[in-house]
Amino acid sequence: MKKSMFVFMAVASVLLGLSCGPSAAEQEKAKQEILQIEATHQEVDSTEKEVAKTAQELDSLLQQLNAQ
Amino acid sequence: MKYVLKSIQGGLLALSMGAMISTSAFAQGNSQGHGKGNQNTGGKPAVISTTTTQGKTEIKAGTTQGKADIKGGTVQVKADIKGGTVQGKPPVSVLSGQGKPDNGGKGSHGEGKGGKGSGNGKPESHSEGAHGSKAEGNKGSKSHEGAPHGEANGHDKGKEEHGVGNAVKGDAGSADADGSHGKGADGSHGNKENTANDFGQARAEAARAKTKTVVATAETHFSTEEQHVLTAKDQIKAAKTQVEVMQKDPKADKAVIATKLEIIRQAELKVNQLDQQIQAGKAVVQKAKTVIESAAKIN
Repeated sequence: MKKSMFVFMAVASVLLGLSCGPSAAEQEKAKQEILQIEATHQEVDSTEKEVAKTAQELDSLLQQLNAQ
Repeated sequence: MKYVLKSIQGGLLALSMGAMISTSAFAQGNSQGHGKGNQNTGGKPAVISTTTTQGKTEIKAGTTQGKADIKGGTVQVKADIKGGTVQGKPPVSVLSGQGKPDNGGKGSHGEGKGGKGSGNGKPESHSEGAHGSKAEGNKGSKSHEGAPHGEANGHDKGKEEHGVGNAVKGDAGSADADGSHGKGADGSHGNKENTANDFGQARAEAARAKTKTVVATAETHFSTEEQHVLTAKDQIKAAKTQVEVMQKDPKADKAVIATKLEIIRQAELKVNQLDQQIQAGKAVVQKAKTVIESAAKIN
């Protein structure tokens, strides 16, 4: 009987541990956060590229100006 | 008495097994729900019923995803490819209980050649464990216009837009996502970010780290460009002075003066544009910092 109880308690503990993962809502929230971070990443990246492109164009114009 | 005790013990063991399978399936089910279209639109936990009769256990497990009804097997529903776009409709293994049967396969039930439809690193063997089927995989099924490993299999050809992987469109089929060789958003093979469980942890960390790096680089870049703008303004000013001097000189070529004036005008426009972009970029950087910080606080 004791053995059975021991087995039961052990299994119950394992199950309890396994069921303590993040819930669906938490996962969804995490997902949204990640997507937001990634979107921000993209935004920063694209802005930086635009700036670099404009700077290059400006350099080109300045070179023309100096060449004249 | 002995028999009673043994029965109780057997029953407990059976119950624990059933509950463990239930928990496992639930966890796997939770990790899904990112798919599109015919792919994995589920994410609901497997329904498992356990019946115990004097030590004998009968476990019936079926998923609520797709059409298949699986009995007596392990439901492998871990595959979750994040990032990238699946081109074409990935054939989804019928055995996995998700999506529609692969038209390219022989037979749509049981031992049919179900499509891989997964982010499995070992496509040819993904269905073997649970169902003992052949699962040869759909090697470029015509019905799905798929490539042998890429499009048709849900191995996304990710757009390398976000580095980490943005859209979650690659949920397809069943299989173990570990070791997936999908060309994910960051183009890495076997990236663990593509596993379902990492969506809220490893992937979040990676996203934060990458964004931090990008933000830091962008900040430096914007500061440099601010100096660039100042230098450019000085150069334009000097050019204007030079043009004024030339205009006073009757011998100066008017065509050259006109050209210079035009270039100066364009350069001024460009400088203003650059200045605005830098300011916008700074705002974006600030926003990104806030997002990263708030995410870090939550986690």
